[in-house]
Amino acid sequence: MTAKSKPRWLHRVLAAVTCLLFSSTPALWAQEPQERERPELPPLTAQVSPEQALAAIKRRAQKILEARRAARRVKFYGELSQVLGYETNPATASSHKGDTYFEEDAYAMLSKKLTPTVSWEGSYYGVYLQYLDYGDGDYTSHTFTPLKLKWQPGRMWRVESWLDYDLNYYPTAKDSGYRQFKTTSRIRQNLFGTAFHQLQYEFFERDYMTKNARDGAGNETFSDRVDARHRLRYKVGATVREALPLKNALFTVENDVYRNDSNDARNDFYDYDVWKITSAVNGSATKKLSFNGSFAFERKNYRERPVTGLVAPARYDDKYTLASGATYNLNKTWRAAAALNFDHLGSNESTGEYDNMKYSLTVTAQF
Amino acid sequence: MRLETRRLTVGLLVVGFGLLVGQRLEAQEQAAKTKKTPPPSPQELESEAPWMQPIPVPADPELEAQLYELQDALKAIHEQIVRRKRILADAQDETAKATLFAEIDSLRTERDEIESLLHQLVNEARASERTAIDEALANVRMLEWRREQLDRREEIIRDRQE
Repeated sequence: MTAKSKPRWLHRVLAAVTCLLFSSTPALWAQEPQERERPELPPLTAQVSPEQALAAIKRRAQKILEARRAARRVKFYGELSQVLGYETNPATASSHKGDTYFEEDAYAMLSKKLTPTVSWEGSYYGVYLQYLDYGDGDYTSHTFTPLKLKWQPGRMWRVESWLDYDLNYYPTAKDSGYRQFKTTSRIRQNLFGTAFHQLQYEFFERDYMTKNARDGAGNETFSDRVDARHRLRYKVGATVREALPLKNALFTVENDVYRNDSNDARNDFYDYDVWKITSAVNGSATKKLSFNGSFAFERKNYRERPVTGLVAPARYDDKYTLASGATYNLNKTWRAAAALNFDHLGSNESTGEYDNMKYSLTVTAQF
Repeated sequence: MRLETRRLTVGLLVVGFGLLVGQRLEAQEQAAKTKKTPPPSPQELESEAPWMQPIPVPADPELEAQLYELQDALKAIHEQIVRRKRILADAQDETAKATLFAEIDSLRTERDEIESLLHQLVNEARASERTAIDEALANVRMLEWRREQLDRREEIIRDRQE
């Protein structure tokens, strides 16, 4: 047994335990969602003295006041997921070689209402992914969002702003590891209660800690490779109560433009402009079962990157992504999901073209 | 002189007209005051209950439940007041009447306090009102996060192919 195969055994054991847990708890599937209970009113009838009735009402009002105070306290939400997946081409290479992967996700969020219209959120999202054979794809990712502020002045406007810190570590392909500071601001306007449009701006600076930037001749400099990206997104959407076979379906279309600049000057591999359009639909078929689907097209125009055998123009890539999935809520704690994702990359650099299909099964516990 | 006389005549006419209209209005007001209004029936009281208006749907389900609870509490107090008023109408004993008056006053004070609390909570609910869009977007939040995660993963792998 090699050092690398140990965690894979761990993954297998984890997956087996999860499957066992699900197969051995059929009651979970049958359990209906519990309805919120409301305490009964005290019997304020002729038999109850006014003093008793008043005392009961006072007690209740006091409880409500206490509950409102409690609502201002810090709240916690968490999720743990186990993913089992298969990719037909994880290396996104021209020659396909499929591989199975295991992924564990952890999400934890703290939130607090600062005023009736302003709230704070802080969160952590961790991903630990490992392929059976494709070791270069293994990675661990930590995303910390220490400060997210939401302002909700009424029914119509939603303003949000937050700061993310990402730390990605690739144990085998160390050059791909990075840390990243990202800031995002978003404003949304809800229209007629069922439609919205929103504008989002993002900026990040990504520092590849173990990869040096190169000069034009390809020689390594003493600085880390650093990428900076400005991104603008505009999204419109609407909910439709009945869009057979879905109920309460949400349709969205997002336009997305961004510019990536890197201090790596070798053929300007990492300097490009991207335009992307994504359309998506999500909705529920029953109380427990929901479906989602999306289609995205992305054009990536490299500013200088040469194409083999051509002097001009620079390289461009067209990427098409088709995704679909289903989620089944077993009860308030457990849910299971299946997803299918297909990527096709076309390019004027034929060696860069690829297809990749991902299948995944996810089991999530929320608390 | 003629001009002054005209002004004086017009002025007198205006004042006279004003007095006539004023008298008429006063007479109407007096008539309205002397007309006896019947006491409101319990049904009327019920229909005028201000807390029975529909409440906004807040983002917080706990707050929503509390709003309904307060509405129920107010309804209960209101029923108690109406019941005592009915007893009061038939009561002959002065001591019993005094007790009933005291109870009604006490109930009214409680009602006002709870109504004030309800108004505060309604304002809070209005500020955090949630639309169908908010609900739908909250449902797809994790899904979008996962898609972004896949995009980032794919971007890093693609970057390696120079």
